[in-house]
Amino acid sequence: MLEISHLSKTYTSGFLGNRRVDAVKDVSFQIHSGEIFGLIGESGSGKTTLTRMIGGFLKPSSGEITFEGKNLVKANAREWHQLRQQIQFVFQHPQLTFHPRRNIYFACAEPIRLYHLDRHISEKDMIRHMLRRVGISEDQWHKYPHEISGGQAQRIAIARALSLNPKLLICDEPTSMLDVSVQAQILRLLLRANEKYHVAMLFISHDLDVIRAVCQRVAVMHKGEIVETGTIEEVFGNPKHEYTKKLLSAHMEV
Amino acid sequence: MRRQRKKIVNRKNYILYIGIVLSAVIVLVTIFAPFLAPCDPTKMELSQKFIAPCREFIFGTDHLGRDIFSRVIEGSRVSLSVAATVVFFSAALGVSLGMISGYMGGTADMLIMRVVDVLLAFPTIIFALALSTMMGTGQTNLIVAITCIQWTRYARIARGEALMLKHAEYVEAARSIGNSTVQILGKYIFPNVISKIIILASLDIGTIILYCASLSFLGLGAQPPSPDWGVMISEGKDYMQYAPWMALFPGLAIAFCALAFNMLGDGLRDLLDPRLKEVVRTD
Amino acid sequence: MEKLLEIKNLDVAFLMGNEHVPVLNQISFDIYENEVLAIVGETGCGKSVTGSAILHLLPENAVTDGEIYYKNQEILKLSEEKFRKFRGREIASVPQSPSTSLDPMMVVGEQVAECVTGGYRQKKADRENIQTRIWDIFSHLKLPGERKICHAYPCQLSGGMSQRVLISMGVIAEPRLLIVDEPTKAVDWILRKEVVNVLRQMKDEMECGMMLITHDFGAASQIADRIGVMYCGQMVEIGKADEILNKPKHPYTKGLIDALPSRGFHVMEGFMPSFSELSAGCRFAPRCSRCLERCRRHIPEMYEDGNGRQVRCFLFEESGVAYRSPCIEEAVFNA
Repeated sequence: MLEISHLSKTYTSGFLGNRRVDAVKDVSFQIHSGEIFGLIGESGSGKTTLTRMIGGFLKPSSGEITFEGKNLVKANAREWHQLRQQIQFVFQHPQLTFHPRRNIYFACAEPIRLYHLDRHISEKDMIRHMLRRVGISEDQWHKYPHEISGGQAQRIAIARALSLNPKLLICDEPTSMLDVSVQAQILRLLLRANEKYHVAMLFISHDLDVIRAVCQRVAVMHKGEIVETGTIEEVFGNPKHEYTKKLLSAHMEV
Repeated sequence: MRRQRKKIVNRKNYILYIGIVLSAVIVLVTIFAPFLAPCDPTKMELSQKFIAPCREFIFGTDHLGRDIFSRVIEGSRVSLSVAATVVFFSAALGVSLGMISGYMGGTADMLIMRVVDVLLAFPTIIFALALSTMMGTGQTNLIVAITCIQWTRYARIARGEALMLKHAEYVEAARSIGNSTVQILGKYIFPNVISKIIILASLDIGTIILYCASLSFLGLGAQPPSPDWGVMISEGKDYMQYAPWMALFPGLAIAFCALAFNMLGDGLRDLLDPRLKEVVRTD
Repeated sequence: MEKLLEIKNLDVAFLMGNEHVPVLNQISFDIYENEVLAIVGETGCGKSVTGSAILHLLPENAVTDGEIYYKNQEILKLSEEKFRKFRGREIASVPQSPSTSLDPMMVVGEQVAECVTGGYRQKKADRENIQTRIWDIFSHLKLPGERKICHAYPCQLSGGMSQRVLISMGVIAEPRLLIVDEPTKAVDWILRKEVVNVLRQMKDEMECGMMLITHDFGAASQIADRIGVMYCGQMVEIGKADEILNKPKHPYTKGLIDALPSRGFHVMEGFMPSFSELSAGCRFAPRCSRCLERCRRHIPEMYEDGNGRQVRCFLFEESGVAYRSPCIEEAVFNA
């Protein structure tokens, strides 16, 4: 469904652009529909640059991103408006995902207003329904992002992303800022969405335990390059690349 | 149970309160100027020239026998309306160009910021002098001249804010749920810019009143019969020796306005700038 | 073993406007010499506040009650003046987030030296003395190129290196007690391992007690001798590390450990309530699957089983005896 081939992003800096940094270097992988694809990498390995290119926030230096046969690199603003409905994001810092001066209701109403989803049922009913799915009651509607906990904010962010019925959900470290018990709740929510609506996911994390518990296939990213790709069993059971081995040896048994 | 209570420091924003009161006084005086002025500010009574401040003419009279008190009050209208117009237009221009420049980046940013750099290289007064000489004197030209320089300050602030927010997670999240660039600028960037702009605008009113008094003093702004503070000081300087009140009172009025609006701006900054707010950590 | 630090019935509340928000309630625990005690809990449970209370670093609107003894001397109510000789020398702390805790405009060698000199100018001999000690600690912590690194600015260091610089700032004055706040928060997998190794090495080599504030069970299991679990401003369970991890008694501890991805990922429902909306009884009762009728009305006490294992849960009432004086009811504290 999503195919990334030979994608690179190079930042140039300095006088006449003579200093070059390869944030993402020749990255290729595919995500099939309905699958959860894990991406492992430490901070600074280029994961975020990669997601920003898939989301169209950043132009790649070279390479192709194809989503259901459409070339995302060449898509114009109007095509993107339609594509955004199908590719949704869950970000790392749940409380920072929302407009700090607007309440939860506004945040949830926005996708409905932008895509005119309230043709059959009213906006209020839709929001009630979508927030109830993630266990947020009506008395939270008029709270501001800083008044709710990280776990609640992440649930709302997921509910909002799912309200557009996306085909692909890009989760950029969705639980790294959350506590263990909340992390389990959020991951269960994502797994249920995957089961029920067959949403494919690109799940980015540096926590190998989480990746192992959630994903079917996984890619390991190191310094902008993908060093290893395979199923969970292959990569975790029989790591080939030095970096993957090092990563696995850093595991701490509880 | 013994309990240790520590006094919570509660800084009252006195500067803001004083600023609000003083600015309100100025605005009220401006609005009700015709009712407050005891005489017609342009009526000449040559028999009554150079009267020192007394009970009848509390600020005295000038070389043409006009009541200085009435002229100072009437002059506030000229000064304040010029200042307000300049601030409004420069903020509107500066904010829109600055937000576009910061959010879009690339060529638009380059072009706008180079223009800003060039304009900022001129001292305001010199640039306004040059422009007024080119376009001729008069109030409209004065407004245009000062606006041409003043908008750059707003543009820089708006650009900085837009640049900072451009990569904020919530702005990217807003884009990801389908907001267009215009919607992002209006809904997400503008509300954050405006609080900074209000501070700058209130500080600016004082500065602009000074600028336009200076330019009028040099004969480039309002023309003599109209009761402008700068013009009044300019006229008064010739009689400094035996009628110092002619220049003194309009000068005090300018100082008072500058002070009032600066206090308002400072107070607003303390109120609106989140960095100065006390943060209570609970964990 | 000697008791190094003893906390008895510590209460901390914050004055927010006219409201009195209780945060810590009846916290009691000891740290022995050369022991690592990990305080584990979720964000907002008050574990960092506990650390700040020991170090007298609470914000101005905090109200404290209870006793903290350091080597049998009361320190909670000491004046700032008198406490200063403890902070840094006897009790030191390693703050969280290495990226923001170092002064970006000062070379790191100087920042570490400042912890001993207090910023005063020293004689040349003393300066050289301190310099060699810094090199010593840096090479101990395996900071590469330890001599050069003294002249580096924080922005030139990697995350792991600045974390180690922070640790050396904590240990340079040879404190007896080190409070380490969230050393593994928001660091990635390999760095986390490195930090844990450094802390483990310190535990073996430096003879000091350590209080490790963390929400990372993995890191705690590697370093800690004992673990205390906090929930909503109360200590709910405390005991030997492997006992807590493998045989948790309190339903909250059990839920927390079962929620770990490597322990089966079982979901514990609900959220931790905020401090202003606490229920009357046991604070965990609304989320507890084994909640009894009395749990909703009374706060359980800490029950001890004789081996130093304490649990704040009525389910373990028979197996242990009430540990300390009965808990003061919420209503009294709020009055």
